[in-house]
Amino acid sequence: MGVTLLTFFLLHLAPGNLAQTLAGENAAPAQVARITHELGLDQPLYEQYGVWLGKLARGDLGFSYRRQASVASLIGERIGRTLLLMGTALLLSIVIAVPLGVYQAYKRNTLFDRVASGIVFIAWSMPTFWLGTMLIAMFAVQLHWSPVGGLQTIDTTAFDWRSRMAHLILPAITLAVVSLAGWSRYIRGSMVEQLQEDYIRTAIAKGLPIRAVLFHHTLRNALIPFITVLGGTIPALFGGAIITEQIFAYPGMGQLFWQSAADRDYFTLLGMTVITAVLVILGNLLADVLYGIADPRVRYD
Amino acid sequence: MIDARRVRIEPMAAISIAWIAIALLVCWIAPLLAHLDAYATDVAHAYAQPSLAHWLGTDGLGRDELARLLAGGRITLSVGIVAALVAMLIGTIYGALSGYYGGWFDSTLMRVVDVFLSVPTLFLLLFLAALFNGSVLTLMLVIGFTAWLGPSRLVRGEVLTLKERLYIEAARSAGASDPRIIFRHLVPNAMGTIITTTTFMVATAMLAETALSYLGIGIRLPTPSWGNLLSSAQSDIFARAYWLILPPGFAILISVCAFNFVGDWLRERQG
Amino acid sequence: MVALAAIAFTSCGARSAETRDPNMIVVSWIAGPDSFNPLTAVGSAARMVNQLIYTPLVDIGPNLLPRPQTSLAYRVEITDGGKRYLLHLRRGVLWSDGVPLTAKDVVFSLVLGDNPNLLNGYSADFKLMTSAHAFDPYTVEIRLSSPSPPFLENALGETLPLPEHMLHRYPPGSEAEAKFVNADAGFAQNPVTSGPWRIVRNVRDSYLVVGPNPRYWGPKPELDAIAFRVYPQQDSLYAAVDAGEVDVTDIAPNLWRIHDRLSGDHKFITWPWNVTFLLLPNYHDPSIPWARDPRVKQAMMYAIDRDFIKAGIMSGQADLLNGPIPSFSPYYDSRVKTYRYDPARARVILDAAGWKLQGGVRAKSGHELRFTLKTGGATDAVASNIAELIQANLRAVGIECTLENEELQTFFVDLHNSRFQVALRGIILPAYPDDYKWYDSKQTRAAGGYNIGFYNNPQIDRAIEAARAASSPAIARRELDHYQELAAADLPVIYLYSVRLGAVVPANLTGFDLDPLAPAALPMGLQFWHRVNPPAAGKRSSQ
Repeated sequence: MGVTLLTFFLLHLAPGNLAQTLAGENAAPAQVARITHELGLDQPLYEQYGVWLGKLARGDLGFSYRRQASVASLIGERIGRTLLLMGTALLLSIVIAVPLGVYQAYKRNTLFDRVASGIVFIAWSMPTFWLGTMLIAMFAVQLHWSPVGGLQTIDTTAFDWRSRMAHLILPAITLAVVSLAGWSRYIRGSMVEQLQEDYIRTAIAKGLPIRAVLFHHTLRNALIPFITVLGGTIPALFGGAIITEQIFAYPGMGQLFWQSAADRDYFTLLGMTVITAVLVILGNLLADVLYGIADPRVRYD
Repeated sequence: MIDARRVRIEPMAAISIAWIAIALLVCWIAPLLAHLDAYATDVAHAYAQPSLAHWLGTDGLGRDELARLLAGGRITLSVGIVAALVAMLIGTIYGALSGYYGGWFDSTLMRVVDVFLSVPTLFLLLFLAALFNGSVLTLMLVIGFTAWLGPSRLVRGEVLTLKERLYIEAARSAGASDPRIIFRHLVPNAMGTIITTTTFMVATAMLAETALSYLGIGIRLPTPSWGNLLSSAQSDIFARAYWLILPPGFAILISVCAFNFVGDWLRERQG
Repeated sequence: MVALAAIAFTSCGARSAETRDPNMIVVSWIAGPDSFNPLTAVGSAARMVNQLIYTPLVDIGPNLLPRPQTSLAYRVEITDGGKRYLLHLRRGVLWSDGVPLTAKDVVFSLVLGDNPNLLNGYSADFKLMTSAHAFDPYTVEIRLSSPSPPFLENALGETLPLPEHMLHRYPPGSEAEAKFVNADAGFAQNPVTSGPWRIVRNVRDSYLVVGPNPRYWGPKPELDAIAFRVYPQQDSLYAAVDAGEVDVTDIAPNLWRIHDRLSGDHKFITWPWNVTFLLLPNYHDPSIPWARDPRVKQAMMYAIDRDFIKAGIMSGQADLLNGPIPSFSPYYDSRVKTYRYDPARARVILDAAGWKLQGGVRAKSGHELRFTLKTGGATDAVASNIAELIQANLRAVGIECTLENEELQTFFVDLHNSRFQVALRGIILPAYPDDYKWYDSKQTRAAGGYNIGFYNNPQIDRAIEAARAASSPAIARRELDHYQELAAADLPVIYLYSVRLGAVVPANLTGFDLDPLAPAALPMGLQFWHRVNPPAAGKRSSQ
């Protein structure tokens, strides 16, 4: 609840006015003032907050005058799309990062490790929009392997799996590249630490197959803190990546946020914050449960 | 803390440190030596390719790209470094206090951090950046302000472990006051983590500046920064003005990379 | 490994994507349409779509004359010295749900447009309307309290009749009605319409496809469909054009010079637009006393290299503005004094007016020629470039200006509260050049107008008011000529340029209506677009 209060006040601190956007650039200031009154935006802040909270309690997330739709419908449309994009990106980066990190830890300080680290560092340091635009220029424009942007084919409004995947590829890769670097460094570090543990050394000395050692023991233990860190990325999962969504014309939560911020569409922004906060809390609970399952030493009674 | 056996300098770290030093030097000193003006427009010679007169060519209004690159470097690097320092300062104090006092004080403080953390960073950044004007100083503060959350957690963790050490008990029984214990003993011993994290923060802060400038709420034109040089060059991508796109891009990439390498090296050294 | 396989699979999918119907054109937008109710539509995409799906009451052409063949009212009679309008409506027009469109819909829409509590601020144009009523199902009579030349183009010309049977729930003109319309998401997203096109598919903020309306009374559109795709980022948009995903797009000035590097067969079209840019001084600000001296402003007109703005920054696609009315308007007076770039002359004028150079900046009786120029161009490279150029030009004649580049919303707030010394801003001109709310001294913000610069010139007041209340076109034209003459001398603002729009279109597409009053920066007349030589089957298929 603190989140909403914070957001509410922050929003209203920003200069600019929803009424202004609605009235249009050329409207007389008197018109803007009238709309402000109409929307109840000239009430004292705490009153506005109270009104909004009341509506929320009744399950009403608000109405976006700027977009002429209920906030709930706007969010409902987009949250699935963002989840799909961020989920795919997360999956991609984990699928590559974990084996890479493990292998790097196993072969640490060899040439492979150094080269891989170098590449990973470069990936870590790339501005997302640069990468995104380069990918578009190369894969979409030159090679026509992928569409430039958008959600899916315009031939239908129904959910078309193939076309959605095709449109997801480039933005997912863009997002994955940057986060992959972070994950692989983390896994590598964690694995290296584990490999130093005595019981692991004993296992190796005893002659157990490396693969078994690596995966059954070390990885398991290294994954535990990994889950908590994963939990930290949950806000992003629902919040979306603003820049990436803009570049790839992907109509998700990030884009909605950015446009609403530019329009000063308070109702939408507040609604988004609430939903995101709720989902984050749920996500963290889930992470805690998984943590409990993964580590038998930690059990809540 | 520092494992003496591992003090051999990694080549990548050495290169990175060298790059950072050179970049800092060049960005600040060179313009004084060579009469480079980042703001003088010369519209007749817009979009000129690199030549002897303009080593990196000119941009859409005829300004010297090299001068703008260096001026931009001053701004981006200083934003990165100062923002990181601000973040570390706030984070360290916050985390140290929280970890030291513990109990409900600690839980409350950490709860606040959680609240802020559940808002995706970019959201917070946008709020704050759009709120205040785009001056360099406010940008440093804004980025620093959104970045202190992570470090505060780390410092708190360090303080928690350190707190139980015997010498702290000794100091306390000797009658040292709380602030003294915190700042004379705990913090210096957490310095390893602090420095490492600061280095990583510089990289993050520089990327944040880039992102904000791309969205138009970072450093505003005509003041150059690597971020807004890159984003205005991207619109020129069809003018095929590679001399406008590549230098800022590589500058950002290599500098951020360098800071990351150094940070990683420091972390390895810590053992 | 798994990832690579997935990539390969889907990329095959993309490659063999459906071939596009050659008789469908894809147009680009920066943002999707928000509301299909013209009274709550804000963005240019929505305004553009609404022009396609509704029948206009009176369709005004580029020459500011009605075009009967595409209007609902095929004849408009103006009598009683300009106070009475009689509209004759077509018969046989149907709404998309089959209900006939009659005078009662028109009357309803006019009264609704007049409702001051609507979010969309058009009611000001209807202020003089005293009554609207239907003589019979196909004739509407409108009465005004006094003659008003702008009424035809600015009020009737902007009206898109709406279905009374869908929207009439509350007493017309009431607050309750406005409240209802402002939040009627049902109609806003699923309208009942009457125009040449209908919405076939819509995915909000991603794409919209329109197809011919089978119930339309007029000529069927030539194309099978028009698709609109949303690309919020310019760079990605151009990539899309390059990749063949988009056919028609508007293109920013700094890219016109290199549009020919796009692959595929394109041509470039350009036309004037009713958006003008100017420097607006705040006459109430005591720290800029020079603003009241027309000679200083004249010197500034000579000092600013507007030719370079046109040729260099805008790539030739701007028209120099010499007064309040742009040259493409039928009301433009070509005899008006023009200012050419002549910095030497500017210096002479300033010297003669007593502003002497003192250490690089001119001064007179203790005041320096110094000011802060505010712009809203934080994200707009073109506006920033222009501001910087102006700064350099003025510096060369001894006027010092500091630039303050603000984010757009912040800029508007400052403008409305008159918190600026000089502002660089754009104004969208209405069809009929009525500048009353901008420059009339009575129309300050407190009085409900938009004279945020507090400009005050009784002679110009008189000319504007006379033009706007003229009882015959001849009188209106005479007064407007007089207004332009006065404005060119006294310079309420520094006139810079009016924008020209540019669009990249397929080389074989034609039929465009290049309307300076276009709602979006795209050519209109989509009903008449057609290909001259349809492309051969099997050409590059892309999604």
